[in-house]
Amino acid sequence: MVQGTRGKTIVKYRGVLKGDKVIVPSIDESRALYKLGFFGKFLGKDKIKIEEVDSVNSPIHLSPLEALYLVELGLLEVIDDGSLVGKSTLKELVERRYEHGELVYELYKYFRDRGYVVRSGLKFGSLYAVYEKGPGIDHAPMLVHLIDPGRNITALDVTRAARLSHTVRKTFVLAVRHMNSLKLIGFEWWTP
Amino acid sequence: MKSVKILRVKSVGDFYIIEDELSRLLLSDKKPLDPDKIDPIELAYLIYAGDFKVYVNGKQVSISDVLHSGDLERFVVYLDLRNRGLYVKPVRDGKIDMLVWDKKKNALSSNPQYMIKILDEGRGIKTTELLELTDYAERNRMKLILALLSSEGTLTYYRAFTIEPTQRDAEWLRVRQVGELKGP
Repeated sequence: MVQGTRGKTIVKYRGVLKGDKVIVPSIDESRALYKLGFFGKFLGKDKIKIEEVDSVNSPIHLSPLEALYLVELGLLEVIDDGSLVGKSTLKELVERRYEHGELVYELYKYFRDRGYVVRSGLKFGSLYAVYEKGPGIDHAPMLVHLIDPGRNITALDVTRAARLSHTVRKTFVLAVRHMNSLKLIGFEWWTP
Repeated sequence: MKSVKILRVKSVGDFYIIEDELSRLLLSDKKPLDPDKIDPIELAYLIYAGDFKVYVNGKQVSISDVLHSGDLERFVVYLDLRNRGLYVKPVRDGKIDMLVWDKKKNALSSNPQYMIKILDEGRGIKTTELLELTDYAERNRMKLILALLSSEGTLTYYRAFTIEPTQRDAEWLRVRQVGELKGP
């Protein structure tokens, strides 16, 4: 239990570290976290709509990005071998999994802090698929690619990603770090 | 049979200027933005279009004679846009490659609608430069178009624009602020 900024009590969800992912063993807590903002994925279930959540009887597992974000929000505590896992450990797990892990998390947090639902974009060939309301509700998320700091954007970067977005009818966005802040550049096919 | 006119220009620095009054008259129906100063790419286009035999400093020239080193990619893009009926003005020594007007706009009395930046296959653009260009285009109410040019000369265009996500109301943010949680 922790105090919210207006003094009310926040119940923390509880997760268990497995490798670099976190399982939320309680089905009720799993359902609540998923409903809260499409956090996690139900084990063995795919594309679960919000109205279907209460009929799902499997726990969710959280990516290290989701776990770190929820821990930073004060909504989750992660346990490993009976001990509490700190933010620094979760950050290390993120950095181990992703190249430029710090930036990958910064981008995740950037969208989550602005109220967007961030899911993996792997199936679309991007780092993230970013939704205004959530998968299955809005069908045209932004596909967000992260450009390595210090690397040039090439013609191939643009076509490869933009072609894909065109095929799946999504908006394609490149995220770059510039002057200590994240900048987003969108692309769309132009016919003269 | 198409009559081919003779256009006499002289080379001055990076540009060409009209050498005589007759040439000036011949060009007037082409409505150049600056009839006294022709970009090498525009001159190459006049040769390409077949309306003129062009003489530079008294000697007849071909497209390859008038184009500067590094101009070929720009000429390919210029040609494609002109062939599509757009008015195009090459920009030399700038961060962009050309300015473009919509088909129905008058280039003499309106601002360009598009800034073209060529991205040649295998070469990139610094992220900083791309951000500066998108900012610059948007501040000037223009659209930044990236002309992606393959090594074989095939063109694909993409509009690049900055995105600033608006703040949305989300339950996980409300929870943090208010301390209310629809928990189990």
